[in-house]
Amino acid sequence: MGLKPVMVSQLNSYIKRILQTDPILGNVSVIGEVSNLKFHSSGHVYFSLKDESSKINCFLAASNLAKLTCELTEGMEMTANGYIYLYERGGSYSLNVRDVETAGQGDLAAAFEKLKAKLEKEGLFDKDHKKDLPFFPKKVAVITSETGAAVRDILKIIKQKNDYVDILICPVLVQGPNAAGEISAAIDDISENHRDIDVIITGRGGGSMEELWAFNEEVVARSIYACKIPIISAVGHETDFTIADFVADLRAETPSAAADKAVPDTEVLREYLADLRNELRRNLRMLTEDRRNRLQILDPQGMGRDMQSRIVLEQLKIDNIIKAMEEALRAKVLACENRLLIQREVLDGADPKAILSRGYSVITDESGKVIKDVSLLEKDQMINIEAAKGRAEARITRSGTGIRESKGKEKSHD
Amino acid sequence: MTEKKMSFEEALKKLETASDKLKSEDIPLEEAIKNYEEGIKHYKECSEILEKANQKIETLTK
Repeated sequence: MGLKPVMVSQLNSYIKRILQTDPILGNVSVIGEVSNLKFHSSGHVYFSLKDESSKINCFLAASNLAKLTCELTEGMEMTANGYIYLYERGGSYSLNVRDVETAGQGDLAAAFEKLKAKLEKEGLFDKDHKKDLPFFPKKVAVITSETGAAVRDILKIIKQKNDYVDILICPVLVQGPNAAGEISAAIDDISENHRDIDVIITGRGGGSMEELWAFNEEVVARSIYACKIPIISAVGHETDFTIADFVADLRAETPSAAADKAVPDTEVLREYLADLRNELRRNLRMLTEDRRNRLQILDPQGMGRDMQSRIVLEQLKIDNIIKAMEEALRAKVLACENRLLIQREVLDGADPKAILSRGYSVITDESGKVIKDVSLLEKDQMINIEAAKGRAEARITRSGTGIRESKGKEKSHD
Repeated sequence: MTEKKMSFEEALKKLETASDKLKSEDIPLEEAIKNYEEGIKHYKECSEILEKANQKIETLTK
């Protein structure tokens, strides 16, 4: 029984007709994991969908790729809708994909939140644990894809800004199933074996959530946390936040921003240094000039001049005092002379001779005693009479009360 | 980091301190001169580091 032998092409053509007329195979949705993903230069995409035990080749035309709402990445779980197509020349069939649904999109977001909450609770995001970036790093390590845009941007910015710092590029996969492991191992290696590194930048350029996923893996987060060297994360664009960003000592919005934050501008530093040196010189000059001026004010000649005028002033003061003293003394002498004159006049008034000159006489007895009561004189007693001019001796001829006159040379007064 | 030589950052900080101190007017002249000399010393240290700028870029091979 059986047909006569057919040509290969006839058989393939027959199978193709069977496959393409089958209602199920003409519109089928297949769940699987993407592998062997190849973007052909023609724009078409070739990959395999696989599960634990089997796989199927897939083809996605460039026109259909453009319509997809999600990015295709190695290892992603997805549901591909299309039809089975037989490639007659090779005798192989494939799933010609029309559309793709990533069942994982929602799952990824959930996994992200779950891991974030877990690590946050464990303290991996704690501010206290974060290390300060060095002000002047001597060597920077860049952990990223050797061929990506990130390494290009980082090198460009660092070279523009800083001609001193050395750069060590550590090439790793940044997407796909092995990426997280490689990134984590690279961080561990730098931390343990490259102690000359002052700061690490790890990251990659922009992409879909799936493409950035390695930076959301726990193993990367743990390595960043354990790393002894400060790490800057630089994943995707401003709007992309990854677990690595939360654990890192500093999150940079983009790889370029990370490069900018990692190193100081050496030109600015040189200018700043020159400014500081000039300031030092200027300030010391100003200070010495100030001291010199102050010294000039205090020069001996000036001080001598000051002393001279001080002496003159003091001399004047002394002179004035002396003058005042002389004046006072003169006044005192004058006052004394006046008093003396008055006393003299008083004395003059009291002189007995002055009374005699007015016509009075003094009678004394033989012993010179002044006779105040002539009634006590006896007869023939000798007395002396003294007048303003001259003296005389007289003899009492009569005495007693009631006798008004006496004889002799005694002058009587009325 | 080895401590045998002062780091750029340390030297710069000391230079800044010296510069600040020299700005105060009532600093004694002897101290001012000392500060100036120290500042210039740290300036030279910083400058020497920057003058030796010889950026190397290498790639780690696994």
